[in-house]
This record gives sequence, structure tokens and C-alpha cells, in this order.
Amino acid sequence: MGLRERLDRLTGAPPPPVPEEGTPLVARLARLRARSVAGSEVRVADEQGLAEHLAAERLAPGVLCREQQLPGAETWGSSTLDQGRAALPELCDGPAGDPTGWRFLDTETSGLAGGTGTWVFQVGILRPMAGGWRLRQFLLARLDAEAAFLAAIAEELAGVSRLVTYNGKSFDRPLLATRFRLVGIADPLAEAPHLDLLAWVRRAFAEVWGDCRLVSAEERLLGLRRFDDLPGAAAPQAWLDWLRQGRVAPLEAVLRHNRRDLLSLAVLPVPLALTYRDPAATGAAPQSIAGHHVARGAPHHALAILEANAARLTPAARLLQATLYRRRGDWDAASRIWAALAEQQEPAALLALAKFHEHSRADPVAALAVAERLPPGPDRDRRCARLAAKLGRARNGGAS
Amino acid sequence: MASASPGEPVERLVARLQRRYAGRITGQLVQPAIAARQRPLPAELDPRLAQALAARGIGQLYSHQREAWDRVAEGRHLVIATPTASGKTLCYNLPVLDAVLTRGVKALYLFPTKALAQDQVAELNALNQAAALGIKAFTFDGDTPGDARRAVRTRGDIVVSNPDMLHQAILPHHTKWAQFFEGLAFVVVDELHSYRGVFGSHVANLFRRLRRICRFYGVAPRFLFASATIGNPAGLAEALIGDSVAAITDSGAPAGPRHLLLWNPPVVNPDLGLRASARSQTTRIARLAAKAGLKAIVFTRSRLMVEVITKYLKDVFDRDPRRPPRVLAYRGGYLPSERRAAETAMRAGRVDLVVSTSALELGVDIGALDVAVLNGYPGTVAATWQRLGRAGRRLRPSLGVLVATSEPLDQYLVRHPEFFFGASPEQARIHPDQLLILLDHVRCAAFELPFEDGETFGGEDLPEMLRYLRDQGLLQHQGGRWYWIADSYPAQSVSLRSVAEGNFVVIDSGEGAQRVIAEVDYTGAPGTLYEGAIYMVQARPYQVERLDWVGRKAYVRATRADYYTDAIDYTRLKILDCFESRQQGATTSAHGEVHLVRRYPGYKKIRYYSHDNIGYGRIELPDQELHTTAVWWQVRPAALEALLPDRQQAIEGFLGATYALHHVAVLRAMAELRDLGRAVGDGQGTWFATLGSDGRGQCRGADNEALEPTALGRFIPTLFLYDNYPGGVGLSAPLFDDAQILVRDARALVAACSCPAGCPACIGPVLPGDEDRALTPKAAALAVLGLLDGT
Repeated sequence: MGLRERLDRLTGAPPPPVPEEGTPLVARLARLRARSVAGSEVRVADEQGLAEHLAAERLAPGVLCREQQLPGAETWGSSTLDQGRAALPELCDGPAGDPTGWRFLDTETSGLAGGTGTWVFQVGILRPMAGGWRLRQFLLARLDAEAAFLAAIAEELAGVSRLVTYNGKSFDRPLLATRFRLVGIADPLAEAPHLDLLAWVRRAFAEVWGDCRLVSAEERLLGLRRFDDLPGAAAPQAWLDWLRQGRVAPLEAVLRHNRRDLLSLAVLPVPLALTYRDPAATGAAPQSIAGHHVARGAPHHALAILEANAARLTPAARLLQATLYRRRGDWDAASRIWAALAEQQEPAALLALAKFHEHSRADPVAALAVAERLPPGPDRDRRCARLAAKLGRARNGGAS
Repeated sequence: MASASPGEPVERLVARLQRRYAGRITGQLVQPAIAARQRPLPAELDPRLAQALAARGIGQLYSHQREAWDRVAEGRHLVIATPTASGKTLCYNLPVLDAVLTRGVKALYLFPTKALAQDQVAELNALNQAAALGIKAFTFDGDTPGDARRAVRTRGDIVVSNPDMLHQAILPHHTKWAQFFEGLAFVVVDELHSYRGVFGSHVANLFRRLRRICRFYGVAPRFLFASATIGNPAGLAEALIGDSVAAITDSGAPAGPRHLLLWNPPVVNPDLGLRASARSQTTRIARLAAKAGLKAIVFTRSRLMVEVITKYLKDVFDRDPRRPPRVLAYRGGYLPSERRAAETAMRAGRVDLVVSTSALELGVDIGALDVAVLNGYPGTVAATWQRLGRAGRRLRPSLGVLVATSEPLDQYLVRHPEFFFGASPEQARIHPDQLLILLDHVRCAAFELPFEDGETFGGEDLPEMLRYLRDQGLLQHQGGRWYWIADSYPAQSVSLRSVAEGNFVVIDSGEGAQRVIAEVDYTGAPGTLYEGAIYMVQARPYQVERLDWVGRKAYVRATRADYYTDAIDYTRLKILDCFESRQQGATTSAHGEVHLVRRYPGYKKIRYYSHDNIGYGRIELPDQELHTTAVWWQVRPAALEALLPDRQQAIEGFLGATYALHHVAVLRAMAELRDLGRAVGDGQGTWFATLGSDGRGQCRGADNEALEPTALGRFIPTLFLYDNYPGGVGLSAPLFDDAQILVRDARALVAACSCPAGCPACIGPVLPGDEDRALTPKAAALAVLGLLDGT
């Protein structure tokens, strides 16, 4: 029994069809036909035809590149590319550096499974140049051309001073690192500072939006809606259709999708920078933005945002506001907020108010009155007991 | 007789058992104390390491530890197979730590379970801290948090993990481990003996993948294996890595005197050849040990028996629920947290009696014990010694008792003590080229790195397998390489521990909340988790209320039932393909591929203590199907009819002969009873024979309906022994080679049994009055075995 038959039997696969009657040649043809229907044989794919169809250049066998120059005034959604360039430094932790060192990057992969068996088959890199912008979209058209494909990408990434992606920290970048390691090319992104815009979107909008996918950000922040876009899962299939059957049309859709992603990436800094200055402008959560400014050592920004949005603050945001007042010594402003929140039985506010009365105003009577309103539990009991003892000592001391 | 030093409690217990139960002790052996053989530390050992050893009181090595050092220095792959507690760990730790210190190399340690890996890191850290060596040893398992994984990959000198993690997390992401692989000089594989059968076959393929990845990073690490007693440590290690391996088997460690007793329960019904149960004897010995102030472990062969014996011992020792338990159960299927808690309690000496399955055979550190009681022969000489080896504190005397059940193997062993005491341990076998297992790993390997034309992997036709995977849409061939192109992660769907996949979880849905209390593997599920089944955890009974077969979940609720349940199963086989056959007189023996359907029609309810059968329940489960390999025997109808004209007698003769052959074959195949199945049918799946609830053999049809044997047109009873894993794991081909010896052994076993009409020790249980029948079941079985023997 042949190996294939044994495997089919063990795995419960249906038995192979009984060959039709006919000459040996007919039977052979039938078998061959069955194979091409199964789509398993590589068709001798017309790579040159693919390049022409995509208006791409063939850099090496199996490596295509479509290049496009874009003017800085190119409009995408509500902004231009150059407005994006101007806004981006506001989202950088350190100096943003010379824009010609920036690389906006987006990849298309053979799947989401991860690991060494997941391919990066298309990489788009958008970069500001001296007199405009340049988009290069690399496509891997043959499996055995990956080294050349990645070498071309490494060349485009050379001199990168800032990488900009959407969800690149957990997806695109580790996948590319794996591919570079497999073909033995030093990873050009290993040391590059990385701005992942997903983190900025998520911080501002996770509580407000249902999801933080790039298409959601486009719709809500750029006013863009994709109509004939490729669904995410279709990209791997498009590539397989090319590899197995030489179909070129789906790959055109992949490049279009990739280009849109990159343009959105380039202009998203405009609404994001606005959001971090004025969350109300885009409907972001003010306390998240304020928290971000506190963490970056800019409490005055945080306070300004909280004050500007006073009407729509959650209790947690108002507590943050009170903390910021307290830190700069404005006890009156802080205690006003605590008192207001204490009316709503907010435990953290009651606690802060009790401490304020006890330590800042040295008023244990008021402190005890507040502490007694704390939620029952050992903390409340300890605090009340301590305050009561303090009061008792004070009274005894007064009496003696 | 033992030269007992009466001061020792173990010696006193042995003397007492010998006095009171002389008739039950059929064999005894005393292994005298062994003095240590020591050799100096190697002169070239890094002084920091010598200092760390000195800080832990080690100034010299045992001879086998020094030998290991010398072999590693020669650059050999190595296996160390010395007894439990002989200091095997230092054999590999010493050269590895030295190389890490002096050459900055990396090492991968693999243990079959997470728990053993965690023990090992604790051990390494203790040595590390003894002299501030600064070596970083980390565990890497499913519990390692995401943010710590990066540190393990990039900063770990020694990464301690398990085969499952290597399989699912490390190799498929090998580029993340590039730095580690580039420095990898040693792969340490402890508990080698556990890598046999299906698991071992998977791991051999895993090592093929590991060595392939190592070649990619330009390294060729040395493999250092450590093993408990088995017959072929070097052979197994060589089969696992496909390379020659040096073996160290001569221990220089000291040992205290060891008493071994073979124990046969007394006969309670001489006519039926019935003996008291092994269980009753085991509990008695365990009770005596605990009352003598000794710590004892009881090994049973099934998870069910762990729970039953635990209950009986708890009924004696743990009647007061306010006091910490003195009796603990430990078995596979418990949750890790529960197992850890049990291990800690044992190590701290808070537990006097542990009842366990083979789960504790492995090197789980549970501290020192004095007595090991084996409830039934574990199935192999090697496993017996491994379990007996659990008892024995350094230099103090210890006692091991093997209590025989009424099964033929057990009876054979206790009646022939010289066989057991003289037998060398079995060889552990693997079958890495089992087609389904190999194919699984070819898939995983292709995902990790493309195969190149001309590359080899395993013993089957690799290009044909790659084409097969291509036709499934997983691979594409281009430029002389086979590339993975599917959007999937093949290691996720391959379990190293089984051929079939999908464990069942047991969920306690009582008291509103749902809580996972145990896990059961796929093959065990139909026989233990059917609706109505009593499932026990730490001797607490739960009843299965609902089984979600597709979702792999069993919902249970605590119950107060005074019985436990035991499933009944019927097996029907059909011959698909005969690989080879042999003619011997009127008998044909053959081996080949079979299709097997197993049905669980119902279960028995068995009352505690009395062990009365108090009722039956129905099981509604889909039939379990299996394609596997088998060896079978058939007799020419005319010859059978001439010898046994009564078909009812013929069927009973075949059932008895099968029972005896099955047990003999297990011994010969060095397997365990559950690895090999037995069945009697017609070979075409139209009828099969089984013991009915009345204890008589009967024929049943495809839908389990009773058939009259005389009404069957074609009557060619076929005796099957089959490999109990999908695709087979290579057990049946060697059995076919030995078919004649097997039949002769079985014939000798039955003929030599002293029972009048048959008994559980030869052809299986018989009914009262059978000895008065004209042709006893035993005689019928002997007649069939004679036919099979060609006479």
C-alpha cells in the first residue's frame, strides 16, 4: 500500500475516486486535471505580466516594487500629508528628528498565526522627502525570493530615525524581525525609535469607542469611509491565489488597501495632536489625556484640560484634578472638589477629606465626622478609633 | 533470611509480617547495604564551582558522577541510568555549570512535567547561591508571564522547560530564541524512561526538529540524558536522537539495605481459584506501616483504584475532619495547584500515606519514605523497580511489597519469584516513524524552516509526505525548497501526549459556581465520564450529570453515593489489510491493519467494601473508532469443528485463550495492559464474542444484539491482539514475529495453573460448577491454544 493511501486511511480521508475508463493517456490527463483543480501545482506565473498589471518595477526575480511620488499638499481625509508632518513631533517622546529619517510602515502577511511560518509578503513604506513624499510598495512574488525582497526593504529603511506604525509594536515589527533573522539580514529596525499610533488612539478612545481598529480611527478622526476595501482576511488569500493560480487582480486590491493604510497613518497625527491638546474637540476621554500629561511630567497641561472639561468629568477625573491642586498647594480648590464628591459618598474623596481635616487643618472633630461616613471595614474602624483616641487625649489634656 | 537489626522500625515491621503472614509471602529478597565508591573532583573543575560544592558539603564525587564528567569532556552524548537518589542530577549539572561559567555557553533542560522543571530550578539556584556563581537559570513554561519571557530568552544561561513548550512555543518561534540557540551547547533530558510509547515517539520527532533548528544556527549541542532503571537506556537515548550515546549504569552511591516481599493474597474459594483482593492486602500492609510510625506510599494501577484505596485508608486515619489529613491521593488528572499542595505536604513530612498512580514514579520530590506497597504488578519489571525505589532514605533500611492481583501476570510472578528477582528490566520502545506522528512533525518542521530538496527527516519517504502536504494546501515547492504557506500554526493542533487529541475538563457545577476540578484525556473519557458515572477526586465522589462530548466537558456534582461505577465496553474489529501471514498446521497467524469500533453500552454500580454489583446504567455515547495495527490468529473451520464441535464451547475456548495470550503478550511486548487490546470476532466485523452478564461467552452482532452461535453461517473465530493507539505504535509487528512463542507461553501458563476449571490467573474468571462440566472452560482454552500451536 502506498504512503498516500495509508495516510488517507489513517486520517479518515475519503478514498481516491475510481479512475474513469479510458486510454492510459486519458487517465493521466484526468489525474493532471484533478491536480490543477486542487490548485496545488504552481502555475508558471507570469511575473512580468503581474508587474505590468500593478504598474510596478521588477527589482529582482520575485521582487516587485511600485513607487509613487506624492506632493506635500496631497489631501487625505480632512488633512494634507504636510499637516501630518507638522503634527507628528507633538506625539514623539524625544526630538522627532529630521523628517527624511521617518518611515511609515505597514505590512500584509500570510496570516495572523505568528511564528516562523507566517510570511510578510507585502511591505509599504511611506517617507517624507526633500520636495514631497515617496511611497514604495514591495511585493514578494516568489517564495524563494524572500532574501532579495527583504534586502530591498532594508535598503529603503536604511537611515531610519523614527518608525511609525499602527499596531506595529506587537505585529509588524516582530514579524519583520523574524523574517530578517531567517534570511540572515541584520534587522534595520532593531534600534529605531518606534511611534505606534495605536497606543495613542487606544489611550484616548478605548473607553469611548467600541474598538480601536485603524478603519474606526479613519471614520471618526479623518472622516474617511472605505467602500471597496479588501477585508483583512482576504489579503492572505489574494497572495495564495497569485502563488497557486497566478491570479493578479486580488493583489491589486492588496496594494490599494496598503496604500490607504499608509496615507491614514501619515495624517492621523493631525487629529491625534489636537486630541491631546483638547480632548473635547474629538470626543476623547479627558481623564485619560490628563493622565498621559501627568505621566509625561506636564501637570499644568493636565489641569488645563480637566478645567476646560469640568462639566463632563467622571469622579475619578475630578479626584485627579483635586490631587493636582493639592500638589501645587492649592488646598482650597482641592478640598472643594473633595467636599463635593463626599456629598456623593465617594470613598476616596471622604478619605482625602478626612486626612485634609486631620493633618492640614488640625481639626480632628471634622475629620472624625467625615471618617465615620467611610464604608464599613477595618480601615474605617482603625481610622475612627485613632481619631477618637486623639480627641480623648485632647479633651483630657484640656481638662487637666 | 534477613539479618535484621531489630532496632529499626522497618526491620521490626518486616519481622512482624514474616511472622504473621508467612503463607502469603511467596518470595523475599534482601539487598544488602552498599558502600559508597568515591573519586576526587576533576582537577580542571572551575574553582568557583568547587567552592559551591564545598559549601554544600560535597568534597568528592561518586564514581559514576566522575565518569559522567570524563565522558562529557570527550564530547560524547551521554545517558546516566543509576538508581533513584544516586545523585544523577549532579552528573549533568557539573559539566553544564562548568561550561556556562568558563565558556559562557547555554543549556536547555527538559523535564516531562512542569513540576519537575520547577524542582530543578530550585536545585540549581541553591547551588548557584552557595557560591554566588551568577548563573541565570529560569523555567520557561505555560505559567511564565509574557513580560518575563523576553528575559528568559535573552538572559537565561540555563532554560528549564518541558517538551510541550519546546514543541509549541520555542521551536515555532525559534528566531526569537536566536541568541539562545547560537550559544546552545547542552540539551539535558531527565526522566528519559518516561519518553517511551506514543510520547517517546513524538519526542524523538521533536528532537529531529530541534537538531534541525540547531543546524540552522550552526550548533550541535550534546545531549545528556538521565534515566531510571530500564533495560536499554542507551538504546532508547539513541533512538530518540538518532546518534550514538555513551551509557553510565554503574552507580557509586551508597544505599541502605532493602527488603522486598512478594505477597499473594490468601485463597478464599479454592473451587473457583478465588483469592482475597489485592486491595484488601494493600490497605492492610499500609495500615501496619503507618501504625508502626513509618511513611509509606501505595502505588495502584488505575486512577479509580487510587480513589478507592484512599477512601479506605482515610476511613481509618482521617476520621476527624478538623485535623490535617494523614492520607493523600496523588494522580494524573488533578489540577496542578492541588498536586503542588500535595507535594509540599509530603516533603514537609505532614503526610503518612500517599496513594498514587505512576504519576509519582517520576522524580517528583516528595521527600523520604520507608515503605512502598504496589497494589498489583505495574506491568513491567522496570516500572516495578522504579516504584519500589521510592522507598529508602539514605542508608536506612526500606521495605517494598509487591501485592499480586488475581491476574495471570501477577500470579505468574509471585509464584516464580526467581523470575522477577532475576529478570532484567524491559526495554523501552518507541516508534518515531509511526506515520501519523511523523506526518504531524513534518508539518511542524516545515513551518519552522522550509525543507530543502534532498533533506531527510525520519525513515519514511519525505518527498512523498511533502507532496501530500502540498496537496492539502499547506506547502508550496519553489526553487528547490518546500515553503509553508498556510495561515495556521501546526504545533497548536499536535499534542505530544497522545495520538488522538482533545482533553476533557471535569467541571463541578454544584453550588451555583462552575469550577474545573480535573482533566481527563480523550481516550480515557468515554470509560470514565459517561453520564451517571461516579468520578472521584481525593476520594470525594462526584456524579457526572451531563457530558458535552463535542465541547469536551463533563459537568459533575458532589454526591454521597455509596458505590462507584465501572464501564463495560465491547470491541468489534474488521481486518482491512494483511501485511504478512504465516501458516502453522490448521492455523494462520497474521498482522496488518484493522478498523476497530468500541462501544460503551453501559456501566456497573459497585458498592464500597462489599464490592457487590448493585445495578447497571446505560451509556449513550458515540462509538469510538480506531484504525490501528493488530496481530491475529485464525483456525481452519474443519479443524476447529473436529476438535470442538460445540460452537458455544469453541467461543469460550477462544475467549479463554485470548485472555491468556493477552497477558503473555504484554509481558513479551514490554508494554502495559492498556497499550494492547484483545478481542475475539470473525474478522469482518459481523460478530464478536464477549462475556455476557451471566458470565458465559456469547456472540453479538454489529448492533450489539445477541446472536445464536449455531445460527452463524460462516464460523471462523479470530483472536486479535491490537495496538491500542490510532495508527499503532509498533507493538504488533514484534508480536507477529514472536507469535509461536507467545502461543507456547500461553499454553504453558494455562497448563501449569493448579486450578481445576480455569481461574483469573490463567484464562479468566469462571463460574461456580464449571469444574463439573464435561469440558471445562480451561480445557476448551487449552484445546484452542493447542490448535493455534499447530498440534
